[in-house]
Amino acid sequence: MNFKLISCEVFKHEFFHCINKTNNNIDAEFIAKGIHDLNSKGMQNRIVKCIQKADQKKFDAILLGYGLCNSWIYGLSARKTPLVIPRNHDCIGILLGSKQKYLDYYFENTGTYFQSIGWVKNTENEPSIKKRSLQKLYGMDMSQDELIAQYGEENLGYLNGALDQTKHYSNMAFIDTGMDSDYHFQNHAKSKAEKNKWTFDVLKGNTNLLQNLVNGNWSDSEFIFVNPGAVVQQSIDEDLVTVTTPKS
Amino acid sequence: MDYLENLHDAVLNGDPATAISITEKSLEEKIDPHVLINDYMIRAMDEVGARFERFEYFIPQLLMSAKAMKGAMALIRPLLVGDGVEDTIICAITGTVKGDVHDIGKNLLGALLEGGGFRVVDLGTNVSPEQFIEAVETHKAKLVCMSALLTTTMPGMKTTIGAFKDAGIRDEVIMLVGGAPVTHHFAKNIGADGYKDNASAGVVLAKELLGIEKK
Repeated sequence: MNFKLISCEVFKHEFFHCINKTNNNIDAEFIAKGIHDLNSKGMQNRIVKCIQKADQKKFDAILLGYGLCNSWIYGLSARKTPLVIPRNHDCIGILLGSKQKYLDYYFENTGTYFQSIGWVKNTENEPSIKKRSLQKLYGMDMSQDELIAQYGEENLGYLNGALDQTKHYSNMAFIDTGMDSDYHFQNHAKSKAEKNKWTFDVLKGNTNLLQNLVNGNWSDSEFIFVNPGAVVQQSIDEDLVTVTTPKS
Repeated sequence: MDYLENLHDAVLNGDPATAISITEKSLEEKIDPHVLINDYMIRAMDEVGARFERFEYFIPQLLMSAKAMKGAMALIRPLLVGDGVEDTIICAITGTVKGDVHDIGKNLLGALLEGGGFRVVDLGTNVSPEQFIEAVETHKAKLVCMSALLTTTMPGMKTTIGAFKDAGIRDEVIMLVGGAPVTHHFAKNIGADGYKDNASAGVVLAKELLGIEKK
């Protein structure tokens, strides 16, 4: 089978490992992780461009290396080629190999910052993304010097506290997916945890979901299958996603 | 009192020191504190919210305006206790739902609600349905605003609304939801009264649903 893979670069290491092990032909394209910093529409537009291009070619399916990732996925559709998407909240559940495993850990360890190889490697956004990011739009990207210049040193502590998105975090969890270089990146994550005075945890992840995706082994419990013309929509059940086929 | 317009400007421009000094002077001169709130500070915060919605104000600017108003209100609030007016101010409960520790959006909404004349009781982050219900009963709140940043935690909004129904108090409060993954579709289908994608519009919606006329 010939598949087009369009994925967040956060999975690059793991996908190369899986592509080497599959019998299918995979045309892989990785997109910057930074597009998560755009609004949902901006993120969707970037991925849809790649989907539309792939939809013109004769792939058996377009595989997406993304989860719900907030709400970018809603409204997604392709005209000629089926789309296959992991039925998962985001990269954390995908790298843990199970949505339930993610939820169990998350609610037992509220305030956890997750890391993996792809997260440690891809920290800096491209300038073209930075300037369109939500941080830029809302003025949350201001440097310490800019904040002092504009609001005075006496207000810096107040503003830093109010703008810090991780102020209630207390734990770092590194997801070890069994890649050769995991240990090096794990140490990097551990240093960040120590710097923030957070506890540190290593979670055993795996590449099962990613391998099933490229192998074409798409169970309904693990993947969303979107027939040509069907549309991905938000639901209020546990999955938060459903697929509808417009009446012709 | 011409100088009172400077109170409006100090809140609008996010200048806490000036807002506090004008409030002190006004109170020494026995100016009615309700005049300071209703005629100057709420008007300024309405404008802050409008500018924020038009992307003319950044979040730090909004936060500074909120700080200015909070500083002035700290001087005024003790004078309001027991005057009977405080009891008529609508109480709003804000909180990020269970499992979620993100609070920037929720805090912006809280600041603009306060700026809009509400009494805000913020439950913080990781708030259970039971805590929301207890707060509504304790503070006789008419408005509940729930926030979630993650898809993992947003089902907590549905659970909380269900808990209000089970407790028999769902119809006594307006329940609004917001946060990055939340949509109109989701809000409507979980039985929320409304959703907006930004804090300023959220305050306008809250006032509309509570039948509070815009000044």
